[in-house]
Amino acid sequence: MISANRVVAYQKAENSESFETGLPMTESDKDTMIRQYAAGEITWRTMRERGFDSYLDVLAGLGELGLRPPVAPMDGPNVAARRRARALIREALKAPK
Amino acid sequence: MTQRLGLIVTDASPLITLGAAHALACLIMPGVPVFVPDMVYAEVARDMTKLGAAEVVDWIRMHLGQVEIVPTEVYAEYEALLAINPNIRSKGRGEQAALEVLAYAVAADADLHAVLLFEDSDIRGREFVRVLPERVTALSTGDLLHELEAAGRIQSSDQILDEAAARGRNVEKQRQAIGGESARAMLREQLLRLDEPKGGR
Repeated sequence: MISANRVVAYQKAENSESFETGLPMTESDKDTMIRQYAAGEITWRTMRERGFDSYLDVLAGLGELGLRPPVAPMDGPNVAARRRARALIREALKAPK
Repeated sequence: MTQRLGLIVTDASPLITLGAAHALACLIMPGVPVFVPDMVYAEVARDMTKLGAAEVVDWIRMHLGQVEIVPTEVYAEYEALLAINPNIRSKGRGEQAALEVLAYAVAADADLHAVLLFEDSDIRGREFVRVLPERVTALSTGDLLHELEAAGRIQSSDQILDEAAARGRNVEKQRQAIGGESARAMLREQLLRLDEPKGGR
């Protein structure tokens, strides 16, 4: 069961175009964000909060600007988890099928 | 005891990237089941005619058994909210649904080790691993591609990412509006198929 308060909270969030400015994004804003994203300066989550609704739109923007999706360097708070996951994948790829 | 990977659960952005690059086969190369939460599927299928989405849907259909769409409470709640506001956005719910699926899967199997496949910038920048269930760890699209490349299973991870962005360039041209109801109908059809008794056909 979904509470009425929760529904109201969702609706408030959905009604804002951009959490930062409350205004729709311009093309220039979008390009700037795409470049920052490709450079690893902002996350996909940040872009979503600022008005990008679909990751396809991000791919489209990257393609338009001749950029590619960023690959995270091995740093940040989740490095140990990523190393563990890569080791699991490596072992799975070696396992006989 | 050696840990063995038993399950991959994916968020939407890796599916979209690999779908756009015609590289969804990468997901099943490790040879373990791949679970797609229904909320993630809905996010991807919502814009069926956008680049990449059709590939994802076709790929799931072709690999039923290896790849499963898994129901979640997150999606049920989203459907209820859609009835109130048809323009509601799905943001963040795919991730919540993936966590729900993982929590259920590891609770049901005490030996299961699972991986959540996630978008690169988020996996680098956010300290979300602490909310992952026990025996679940996280991997980015780039991490997976690098391991496949190192194992000689793909030629080049950069080539796949370039292909995804290059095809993305045409996304606006190929975009045709399609009702959200059509995508949801497809999802219902997929979930009904999963409920059918197996081996009867």
